[in-house]
Amino acid sequence: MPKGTSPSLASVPELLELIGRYLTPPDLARCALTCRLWHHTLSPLLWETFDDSLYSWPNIMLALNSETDAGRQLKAWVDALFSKYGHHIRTLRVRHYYTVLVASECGGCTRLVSLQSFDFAEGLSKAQESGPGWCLETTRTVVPTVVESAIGVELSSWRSEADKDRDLTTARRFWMLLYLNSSTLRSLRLDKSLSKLCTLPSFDLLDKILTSLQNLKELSNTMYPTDVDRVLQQIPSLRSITGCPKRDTSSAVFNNVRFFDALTGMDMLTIRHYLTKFPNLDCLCLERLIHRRSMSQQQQQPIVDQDDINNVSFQLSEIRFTADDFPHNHSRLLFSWFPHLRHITLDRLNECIAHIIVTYCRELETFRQIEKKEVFLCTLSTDTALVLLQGCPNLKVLDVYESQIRAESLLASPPWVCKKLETLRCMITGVSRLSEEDITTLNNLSMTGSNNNVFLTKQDRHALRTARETMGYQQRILERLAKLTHLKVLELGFKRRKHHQYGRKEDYLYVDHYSDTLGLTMASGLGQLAALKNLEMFGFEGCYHEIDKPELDWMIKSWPRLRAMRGLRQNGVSTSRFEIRKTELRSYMQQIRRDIQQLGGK
Amino acid sequence: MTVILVSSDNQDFKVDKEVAERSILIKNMLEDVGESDSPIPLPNVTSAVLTKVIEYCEHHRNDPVQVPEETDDPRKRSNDIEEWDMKFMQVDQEMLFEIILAANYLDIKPLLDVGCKTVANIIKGKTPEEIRKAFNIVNDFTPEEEAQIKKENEWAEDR
Repeated sequence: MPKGTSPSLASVPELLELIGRYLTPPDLARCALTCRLWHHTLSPLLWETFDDSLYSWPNIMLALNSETDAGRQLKAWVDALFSKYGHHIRTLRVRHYYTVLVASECGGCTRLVSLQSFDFAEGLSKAQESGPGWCLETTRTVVPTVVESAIGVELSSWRSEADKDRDLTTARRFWMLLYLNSSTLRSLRLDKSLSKLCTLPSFDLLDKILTSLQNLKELSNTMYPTDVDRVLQQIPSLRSITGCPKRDTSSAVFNNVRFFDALTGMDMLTIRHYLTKFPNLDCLCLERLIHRRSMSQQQQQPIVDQDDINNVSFQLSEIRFTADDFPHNHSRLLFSWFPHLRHITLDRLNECIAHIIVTYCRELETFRQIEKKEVFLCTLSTDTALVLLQGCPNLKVLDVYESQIRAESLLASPPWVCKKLETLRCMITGVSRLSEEDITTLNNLSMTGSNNNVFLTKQDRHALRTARETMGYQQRILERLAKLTHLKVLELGFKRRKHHQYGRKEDYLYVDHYSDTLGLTMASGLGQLAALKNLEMFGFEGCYHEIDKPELDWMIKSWPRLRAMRGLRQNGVSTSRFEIRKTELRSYMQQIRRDIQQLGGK
Repeated sequence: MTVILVSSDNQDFKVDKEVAERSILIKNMLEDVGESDSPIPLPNVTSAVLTKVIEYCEHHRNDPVQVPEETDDPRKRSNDIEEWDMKFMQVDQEMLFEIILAANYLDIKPLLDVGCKTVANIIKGKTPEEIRKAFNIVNDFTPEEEAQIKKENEWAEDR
């Protein structure tokens, strides 16, 4: 830079590029409109990742499919964009057939680092709004698990000839795209829906294609059953692999593997086998822990030495279970293998698991419950969150949205050790609140302005006393929460919901809020939470809260980093006073702080 | 142990070695030279900027050294600036860019990050015209070009 000129972003493109890394596409797009240099510098960043499920792309992809002039114009527009900017793309995430076509035809997409395919049926079902959609539904439910969607299964008989042609072309183009990028690809995801597009080539051919990807580090393959050992022998650079486990594979050891997703359930012996095979494994994903009856038989006739599974420990730092059940008879042994476990994802936290974790996994930082479509408070999980709050000093994330802590237990619990907690998603229930009757009495009292004890009826005194008690009670609960000063995310409730699927339409049925939750008003001690200076997200969906404008004003003032809220969006079409107030408050928030996102609801 | 840094306008700054070594450039220089008392000239940094940079390094002297992660998230977050850093960055725009440039030149990654995040936060949510105004950018597009790019970027609107 010449001396004497003051620096500006306009004069130093390298700087602009660094700053652009912190901007999202909508902001990058606006920046690119300011001047030529910014457009030139930021377009590569804007196009670095192409994901057809983000921003306006789902709508565009839906619209361009129609056989009208508008549809054709849209196609031409997308084609032009790809031939101009396609060469900037490094990560390509596809769900829609047209993305595959345009990316393989534009000639520029030849330096992809990551190619990820997802459910093509998603794109198809939306694209064929007027087509034989019901058939697609059938094919979707016909394929229950990953393994069964093996190659060559004729699932596509329902389609018209034109559809078949298009799907075949999509599949061919996908493999072509893979071939074009074989020297640069580091990450690849083969979705099982690829096998629905057409009858796929033989395993041998697929193996050959995979073998040509010599820089590949991550392979996620739900498309056809892979023999993990074989793939690793062909691509020894792999650090991350998805495939079905077999217990009787060779004893070959692969030091590079850090991540293994088994896709299915595994029993203890198989897990042991793979932990030995991948000595540097960081993260293990499996569907469930399978309890084999043969385990007890093996005690009489040991195939492996029992010591072999009892007195071992592994370096694993993360374990994820993906199915919504978890057998407990073996979990004690399993968790005892992993003294350095830092992240756990499970179906839910029950008391047994909570105590096992506190006993064996002293370094735990993250506990998450898997996301589900249906949400119900689980009575088995009551108060189990407290066990972790008291027992895991390094805990940063406790996300157990289907769990509840009873107010009484919370107040009775010894001081929490998790001083570093940043995320807490858990419902607090059993909070004593004023009855409708008490509220009416209190309202009458305040209207008459009578606070002279002499004129109070027995009912009035009772209401006043209860009011004092419940306020004090809630205040004490919030006081406990306020000690977690590192909190960035605090969600004190979730709306119960049931998931429905009518044909192709998905819907949720919301059940009423919980009445015995925190009121979250200034009068009931919300001000205690002023200590949570780092809070970025506050959620109270499903709580019977009485938040009003003064409370919202207070939140904005007290939590300078607040970026998102959950609870002011309406669930369902209820016309109750409670639901209507949400809309009022949401529009109030949007007037004063547009930048705070309102999450949740439908 | 202390080292002497010399700014572009020939001012000497005496700082602890530990503080100076927050700059990877200086750290490498010191390692190459070995034990030596000779001052280190920094011809690209003025004294005003160097004062600020040293203030930052003093405050962060005990921070653990950042290890660059292999799987760096390409979309970095810009809303996790520490309170002290946020106050530190409350300077006029010219100084802000000077600090970023100095952090880049001296190779002080955390300072560079904080600087870039601060600028990114200024940009966020603004219209192109507001961005031009904020950074004194001259619109050098022809109306046709501008219209075309606007059309091209339509996909990137928030839903």
